[in-house]
Amino acid sequence: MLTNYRTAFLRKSNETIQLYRLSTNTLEKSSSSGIKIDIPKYKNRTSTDILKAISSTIQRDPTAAHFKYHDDPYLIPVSNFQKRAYALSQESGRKAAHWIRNQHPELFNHKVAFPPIEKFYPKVVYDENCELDENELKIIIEKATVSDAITVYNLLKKKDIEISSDTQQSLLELVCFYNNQDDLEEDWIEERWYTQANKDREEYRNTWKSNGFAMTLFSTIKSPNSHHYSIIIQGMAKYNQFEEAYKLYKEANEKGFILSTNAYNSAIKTAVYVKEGADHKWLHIQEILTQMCNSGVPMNLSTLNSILNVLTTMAINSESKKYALKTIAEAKQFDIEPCLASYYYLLQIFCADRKNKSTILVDILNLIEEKSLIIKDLADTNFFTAAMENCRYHLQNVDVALRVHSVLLKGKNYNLIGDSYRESVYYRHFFAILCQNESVEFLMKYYNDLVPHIYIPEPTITELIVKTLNVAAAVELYPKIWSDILMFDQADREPIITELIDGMAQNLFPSFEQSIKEKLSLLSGTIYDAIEERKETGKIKMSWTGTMLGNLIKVCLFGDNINKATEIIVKLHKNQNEIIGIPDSQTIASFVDYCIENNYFNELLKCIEYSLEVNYLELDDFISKILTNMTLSAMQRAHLSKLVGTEHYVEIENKIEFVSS
Amino acid sequence: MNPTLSIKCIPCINGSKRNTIRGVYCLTRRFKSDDDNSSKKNQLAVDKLNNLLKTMKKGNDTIMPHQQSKPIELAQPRQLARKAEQNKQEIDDSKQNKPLGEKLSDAATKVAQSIGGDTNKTKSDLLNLLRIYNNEPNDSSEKKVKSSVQLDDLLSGMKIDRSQSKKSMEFSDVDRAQRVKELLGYSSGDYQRTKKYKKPMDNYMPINLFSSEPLGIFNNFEKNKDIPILPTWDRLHEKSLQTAVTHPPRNIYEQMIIWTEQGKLWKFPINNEQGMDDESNVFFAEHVFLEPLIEEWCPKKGPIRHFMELVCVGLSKNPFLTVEEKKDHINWFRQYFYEKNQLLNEVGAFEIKSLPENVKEYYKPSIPDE
Repeated sequence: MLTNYRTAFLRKSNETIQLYRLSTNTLEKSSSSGIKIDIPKYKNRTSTDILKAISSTIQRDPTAAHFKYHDDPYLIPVSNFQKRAYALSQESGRKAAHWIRNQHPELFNHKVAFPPIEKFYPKVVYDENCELDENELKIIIEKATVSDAITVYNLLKKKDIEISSDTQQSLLELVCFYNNQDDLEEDWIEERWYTQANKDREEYRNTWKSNGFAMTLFSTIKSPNSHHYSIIIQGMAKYNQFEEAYKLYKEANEKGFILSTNAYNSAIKTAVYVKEGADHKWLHIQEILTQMCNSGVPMNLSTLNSILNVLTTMAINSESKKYALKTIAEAKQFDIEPCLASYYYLLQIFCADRKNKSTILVDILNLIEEKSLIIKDLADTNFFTAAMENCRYHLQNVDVALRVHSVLLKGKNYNLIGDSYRESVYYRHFFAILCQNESVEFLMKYYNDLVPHIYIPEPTITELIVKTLNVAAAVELYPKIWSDILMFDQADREPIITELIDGMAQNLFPSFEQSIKEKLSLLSGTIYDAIEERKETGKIKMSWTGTMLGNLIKVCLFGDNINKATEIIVKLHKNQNEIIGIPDSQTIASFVDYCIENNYFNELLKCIEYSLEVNYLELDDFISKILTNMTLSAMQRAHLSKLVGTEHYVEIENKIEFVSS
Repeated sequence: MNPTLSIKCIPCINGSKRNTIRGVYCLTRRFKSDDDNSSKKNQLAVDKLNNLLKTMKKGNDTIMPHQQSKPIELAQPRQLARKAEQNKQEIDDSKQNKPLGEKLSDAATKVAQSIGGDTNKTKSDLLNLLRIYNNEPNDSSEKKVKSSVQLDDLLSGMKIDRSQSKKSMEFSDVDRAQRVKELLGYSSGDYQRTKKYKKPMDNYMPINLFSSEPLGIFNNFEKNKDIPILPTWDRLHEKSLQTAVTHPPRNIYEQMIIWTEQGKLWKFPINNEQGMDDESNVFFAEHVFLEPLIEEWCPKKGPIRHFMELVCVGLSKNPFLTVEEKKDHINWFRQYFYEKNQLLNEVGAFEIKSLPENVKEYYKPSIPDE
């Protein structure tokens, strides 16, 4: 019976399999006849694609320090200063290694790898004994080491070796691009990241070396052609030698040369210095554009940016906005998409007027939000900082700020932040606007994410954050913010400490749970101890004020931390000459009340001692309160009377008797 | 009590002005004599005079800062305060701009009223005194300037009791309630201003950045074919853009990307023959099958053949030599045996007919001495 079943079942299943096979067969047949299978083309992967793919799977861990600090957990930086110092010292170690390798190349003759790694070779020194030819010069130009290129060129000249005009031209391009100096080596990423470079100040400073090799080379060219003119004009304009650049531009024009597009762009930029007044500048721009059109040279992105850059210098002129939009429309004809730098200039042009505020940032965001951005102009890196600043001061709108932030975090856009300085300015504005506009929870969400590993708030921002906590009465966050203040070495900033202590003292609500009360009082004790300790070791120079200490006493009493409160009273008494001002009488009164309630006579005595010294107006009230509300032993009475002065004491006692009778 | 003013004044004033001061002194004396009975009221009068003098001094220079200083917050409450002070008199705005003389006479009337007693007399006394240095208030500007200078000199020379702060002086006649009211009024004005102030995002007007008319310069544009191109410059520019977005690596993989780009690391996917560009063009058979190289010169059999076959096997298994080197190696033996031809002939073994071509220098063996 059972076996029958089984065979029947097996047969059945076999049939279904058969059927399935048949059906798949027919399917295959139909696909081969009708649908064409598209075999995807082989994709060429570069050597870094795998690494990029793996790297993209790694999320940032907000609790971890930056990757560069991961070598030594004892050296995890907690302040801006440490971040900079550690990163740069790591790099200077590498620099030392480079130095030794270059100083003693004879020690590094062994081949450590095959194929040999050129980066690990000692630097080649060129002198008169070298066998040199033009190819060597070409290789050096390819590697873009300016000083070597100049030496080799001079050596070749000495040996009377002919140099082709192409090589000469690319040498001129090299020295003009780098202004006759060696560029910072690409290995020094940290140095570039932390170089503040006084960029703002140097923006329009003439740094062109007028007696440099570039000029000598240019003058040795007997009949400079349009290439040479283009190069030297571009070089001069890059290093802000605008007057000379403009002179050469005119000279080239007279000779009827057609220059490179970038040379025309450079000539446009000279308007900043060569011409004064908005009208003249605009005429200058139009003139050059007409010249370009007549010569058949098309606009490019850099032309657009140069024009907008000049327009920023005349942003007060009401016409500038019109001109800017017209220029963008003109560029559109050449299919030129504005880049971040263009938007950065637009922000400057449109938001120069502080009364008639422009909301152009929103329009810009609408345009860039969906795109993944790549760098197209060196000024692109200014955009995000400027946009956030615009949100803070100009639009004062947190929603726009969040949009800017989300654009920054999208894709690889974060690379466009610029350098560490710009990054911290960006976050400074971001936090300021979060503090002004948003709830504490929202602020803390970003705070926990970004602080301290990406951004460490500057003292002013810390103060703003503390203020926000105060306003929102977010008492539970005080311990965290205090430990952060300590960590960032900002405990010596008086405004922050005052704000914090004030806020704590203002936000004492009796409805708090006992545990919170205790925590608060403990915290105020910690604040007192920490600052005291730092003052003793001379780390901070801030002096206590009476109100600060008074507030601390208040918080201590709030959480039954009578010992600390007494300690502070004693401190007040002992160091009167160092402490500015006195706590207000209410604080002292609440101290007295607290002691009476809990029967702390010794503490009370210390308080009275101090009050006598300061001579509070309410002193008599305090004493009479003590006498009426506290049961004192004869000994204690004697103590008190001795302290107050017997006569005065008797007087007060009489008064109480008089009132009671 | 009262003469303190004049005593204070005297040392500060030079002779020419002394008689005017005597006037002030007399004035104060007169007040004293008028209201002999109450010294308190007398003191009040002196204070009033002090105040008057203060306002005089101020009246002289109010116009300047009033116009210069932009913020309204400062200017407004002052006006408000003054209006409140002179509530009954209802001084309108035009009066604020009245010449100094008229202002003084108004002020004098006020002082006279507040002192009480014979109002007209007090007033005329005050004005008489003032007339000493301001004879014709409506006269030509030159005289006006002169007189005002005199007044200025006089007033700046005098030590007027300015112990009261400016603000409290302004409110001196105003009671607390009024002050509070003003404060409220002030703040409510502030409130209104903030209410009026619209955040920029409230009136957001979208701008289409591409909607504008183009400049129209490139309308009849024809592209020129030979525009100078600067390859090195463009390459360097591209490089500088790349370094501008190269930031400290965020994880080991980014670090490895940088190392790979600098050529410090094996390239992915890992290839054992990376960098051996010369060898990549050589077929493996050339490495492994070396017998054809000995075919043409080596004897078909015998010990030399045996030896050379072993050499070929050894070389075919050697991964460290290039094909060229292997060939050179074999050629070295060929030459060696060629130079031993004589010996080989003597023993009747074999004769190697031809020399290999292009034997590398360093592979030439030294011929042993006979």
